[in-house]
Amino acid sequence: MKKRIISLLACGVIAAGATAGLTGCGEKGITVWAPQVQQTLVKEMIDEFLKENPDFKYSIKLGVCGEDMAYANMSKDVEASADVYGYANDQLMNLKKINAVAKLGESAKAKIIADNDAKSVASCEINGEYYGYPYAADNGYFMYYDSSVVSATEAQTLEGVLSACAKAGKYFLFNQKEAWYVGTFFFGAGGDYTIEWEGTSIKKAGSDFDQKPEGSEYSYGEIGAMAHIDLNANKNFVNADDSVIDQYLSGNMLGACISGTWNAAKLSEKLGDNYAATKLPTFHSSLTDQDYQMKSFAGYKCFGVNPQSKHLAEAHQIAAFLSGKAMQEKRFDALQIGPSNKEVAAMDKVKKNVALAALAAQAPHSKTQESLPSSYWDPMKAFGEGVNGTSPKINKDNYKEYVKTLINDLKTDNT
Amino acid sequence: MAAKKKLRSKKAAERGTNAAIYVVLVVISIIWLFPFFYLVLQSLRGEQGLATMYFWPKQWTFDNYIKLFTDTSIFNFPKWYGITLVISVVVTVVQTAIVLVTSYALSRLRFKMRKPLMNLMLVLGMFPGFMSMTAIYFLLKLVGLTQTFGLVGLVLVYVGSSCMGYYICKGFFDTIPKSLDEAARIDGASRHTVFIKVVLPLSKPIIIYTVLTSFLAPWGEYMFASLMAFGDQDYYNVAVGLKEMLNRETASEYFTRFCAASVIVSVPITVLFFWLQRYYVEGVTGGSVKG
Amino acid sequence: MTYPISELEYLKLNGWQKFGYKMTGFFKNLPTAFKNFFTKTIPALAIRFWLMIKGWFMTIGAAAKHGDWKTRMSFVFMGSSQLGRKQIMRGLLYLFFEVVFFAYLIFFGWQYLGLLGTLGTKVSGEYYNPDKDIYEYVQGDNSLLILLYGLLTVFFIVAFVYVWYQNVKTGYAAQQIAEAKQKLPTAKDDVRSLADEQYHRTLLSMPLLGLSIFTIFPIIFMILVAFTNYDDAHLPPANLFTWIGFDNFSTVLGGGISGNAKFGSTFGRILLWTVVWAFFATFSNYILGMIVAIIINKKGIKLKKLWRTILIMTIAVPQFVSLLLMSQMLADHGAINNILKSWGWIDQSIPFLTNGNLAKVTIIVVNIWIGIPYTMLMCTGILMNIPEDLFESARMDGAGPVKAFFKITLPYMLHITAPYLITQFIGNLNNFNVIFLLTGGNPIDPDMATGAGETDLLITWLYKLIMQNQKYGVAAVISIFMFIITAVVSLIVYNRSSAVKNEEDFM
Repeated sequence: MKKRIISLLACGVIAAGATAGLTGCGEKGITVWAPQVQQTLVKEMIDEFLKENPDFKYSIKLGVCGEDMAYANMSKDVEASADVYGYANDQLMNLKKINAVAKLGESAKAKIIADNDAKSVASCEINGEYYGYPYAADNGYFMYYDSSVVSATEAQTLEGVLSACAKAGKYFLFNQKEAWYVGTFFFGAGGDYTIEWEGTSIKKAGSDFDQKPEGSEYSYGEIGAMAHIDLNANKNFVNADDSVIDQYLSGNMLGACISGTWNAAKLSEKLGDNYAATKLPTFHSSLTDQDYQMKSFAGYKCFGVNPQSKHLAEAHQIAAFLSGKAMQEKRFDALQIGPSNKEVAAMDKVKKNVALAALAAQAPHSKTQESLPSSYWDPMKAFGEGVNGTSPKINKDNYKEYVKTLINDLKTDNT
Repeated sequence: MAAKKKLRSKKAAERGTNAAIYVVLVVISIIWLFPFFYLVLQSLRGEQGLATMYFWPKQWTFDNYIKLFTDTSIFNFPKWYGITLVISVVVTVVQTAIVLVTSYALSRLRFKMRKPLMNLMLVLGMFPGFMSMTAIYFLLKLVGLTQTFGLVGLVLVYVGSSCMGYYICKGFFDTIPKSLDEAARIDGASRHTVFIKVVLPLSKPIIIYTVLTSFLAPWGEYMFASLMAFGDQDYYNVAVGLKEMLNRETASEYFTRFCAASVIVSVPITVLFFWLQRYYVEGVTGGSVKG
Repeated sequence: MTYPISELEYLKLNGWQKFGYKMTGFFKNLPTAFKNFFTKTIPALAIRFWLMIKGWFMTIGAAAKHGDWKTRMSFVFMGSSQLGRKQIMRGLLYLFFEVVFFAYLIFFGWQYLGLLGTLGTKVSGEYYNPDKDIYEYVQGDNSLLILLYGLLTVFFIVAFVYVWYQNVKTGYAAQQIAEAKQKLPTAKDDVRSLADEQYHRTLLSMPLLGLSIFTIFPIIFMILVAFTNYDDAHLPPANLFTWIGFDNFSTVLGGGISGNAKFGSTFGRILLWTVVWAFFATFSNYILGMIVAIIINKKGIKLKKLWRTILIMTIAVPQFVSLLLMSQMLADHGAINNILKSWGWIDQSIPFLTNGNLAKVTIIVVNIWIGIPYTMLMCTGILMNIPEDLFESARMDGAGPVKAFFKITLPYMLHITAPYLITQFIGNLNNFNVIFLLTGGNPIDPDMATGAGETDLLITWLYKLIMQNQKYGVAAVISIFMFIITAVVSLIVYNRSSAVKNEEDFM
């Protein structure tokens, strides 16, 4: 009896829903997802697009989704997701895995290759096919410094930076807790992490941190680990996320910090005339007595098109427009977002931008951030946390053990 | 004389205990208020940034509050606030009704499936909830309660399983003497009348407790709200919107405003608690028929 | 204390000892209770179920044999027996249900039901469209939706069968009543009955409908997922997944979830911490919250409302804000360390959240900060209900406030709030929010299996496993195991707790 009432009610709900569903099946426009900060900007861009294409048939709606959240949001329901959306290139494999990103046609492919910097184009490529319209090439990190504390020559070496900071009673800030930054010494020493893909799945992945550079008795992993341990022992080093950077800025204690373009505005405002940025410094290994260049990750951002879009061709058209030269320039003007377009990147105003110039200088020493699995992020984060603190778990006596652990944990083998 | 002295010393001891209790309460209050105080401080800070090296702000300002309502081009706080308020009110009404009704049935009525039902509701809550989000989402999508009607769906999700929170309320009903019901039943009242006319008027404290707790939940709920909003700013609740403020690109600039928003969010809830507490305590102390 | 003791001895114990005695008894009986649950409770349920089905068939048989044409017609056209006997409302409800059901089945449910066996076979396709110079996509079957909507259809069919049976049964009953020349209940009678004898149906139908849709259905769906290969290599809508039997179970039992040698020890450590956390989190809040409630309630204490409101302010700030703020304040460079440094109390930051053991303590303390107001709020009501004469007699016996607390207040509270305590404990075992928002499971220990942190509970770890590795099938299996363990334990505790046993005591 009770169940009868329940089922009757359930049927009522279903019936009501069915009618609602039918009436909701009206004309669906095109949705574009852009990050929160770019909302007003993209709104203007869309207006411009509609002005240029007066006979465009569909309405365009704007939604919010950070480039870093593209996969998280798309994976909930591809069909209901945006037709055009921005994504950070390290999510490409995951997006492809759920069929949330459409392949580019021949002409579109030719155009992005011709217009954009080679590395950013490569970032949206899988097996010779392209899955995005690159529009930004600034997702990396480099070094900011206070030129009244650290001179341009001192900024070339980590030791120079640290001693300059010590002299001025200021601090060098670097994030040892986020896996994104932890690779810098390992890759700097010469190590690498590689993934062998099979379609969109990882066949094999791992590091060569156990290899030794020629003529050295220490491996890449050990050199990198010791650099971390030495840095943590330095009194003028502070393990810093963004909130600590803000703090040291407010206390006027910042000598130099490693961060990305998203912090450029406030650093330039606070440091004023002393605001400067350059590539990452070199570091001196206490094990091998040699200098190595710190390396960084470089990430790119692209517009993707949803394969389940009701208006695929138009979606491609919008994505191409939003990633075009004019829009990249506009994006730089409004928010100093680093362009992937070659011509825009070559503009004087872009070259003069301190942060983007530093990013460009770092580019040769950077590793493209591909779709890294959690079996990369987790062990790296664990290592970073392990070397950090007042009494770190990983220290000069046991670091070799933990380098072995790290190498083991990084290894993935699905063959 | 001696008796009087004893009484006086007893009074003195009493006063000593009370003094000690006041000290404890003051210490507790300081500990409990400190984070809130810190939040208010941050919200009045004129300098931007996620944190400062010093404790007291160097510039004091109300701008963070004002801008929340005037500068809505990127973060439309008033809208989130309105949406959350509406959701909260609806959820409160429906959830309170469901909890009361369920608890009453389980406490007062005797029927075959009562014990199994209670057991079932007890254990169902132990299944990790986040696994079921996908299923619920696509069920709602089937009946058109996502996207445009997403907020309706959201309310349904919030109230859908609220009968599982019957324990406390049922415990309360259990303490209301059954003799009252029986008296009314003898007078010819139906079970429905007993519930409405006899039991509910005695249940003020638990009704208010339920109202308070159900009003609260939607303000901090993020997971489902973000799933339902699906990138559409028009459907953000406060939690989703505030979380957006703390993105890498905007965190430094908007942190003080985030704090101001949090203060504003907590104000109505605090007021509600302060106001309803009177009824709550009155309800408890007034229920002298019990025990 | 020896166990068991005679009833006479038991009666001599004070409330506190009684509680201790019960606890001893509980833990001694737990293994037996566990065994009984599987050897007695479940078979008993199975037999009852069997008898019920048998009863159904007998009723249907009788209706088919002795039913008149109206009753027999209701086998096909539901409600005809009632309609023929002027029970219009009942009859129409049955008929309406039948129409809706078949409409649903034909227009929607059927297609998914057919695919339920394979969970879909059509793969998505990609075609080049040279006219527009784009790639176009044809969507294949979506295994997730097939499973979900197929299950929904099964739900409906089960409901239909049940309603159909009720239709036959009540239709036959109506015939019998009519034959006995008695008055059939009218629609008005039905409504009146729903406000009185059947009142529980009126009250519970909506809550249970919600429960079925938003909790029971998703749980069954999840249980089914455990038998599929829904994982990162089979993600819909791009790829299909299918049934794989018990493979996921053997993966979990074989410890092969992460393919990591440290998995076993990590699991052990997290499990231990989960239990420790749940214990301390529950009882610290419970006892301290009660004490706070008592001292605020004490006669002669002024400004009661103010004290309560101050505590309640922690509830007023949404948890994700207050916990974010807490984690910022307690960070190595956070406000608290900065203040202590500026006062010269410390010169090195206290690693509140970055040292594994300290972080565990910090979390429990922060949880007290969050939880006490709730306990206080709840206790205030119940405390005021403790009969004053209990205290009076204790005072006569010369008991101080501490003794009165342990002799009267605590046993009374334990008695009333045992279910609350159990739900709190279980809730804390699965307390996702506090851990996730405060530490996110950090600090991470390189000695643990990848991804697990020192403050991770099983549930936050599970969340990480799903979110990062997308192993939904395996995660469902872990959920099932966690569910079975917590559910069985709490059912046993709940049904043995005095509040349920002596439900009528305080009435």
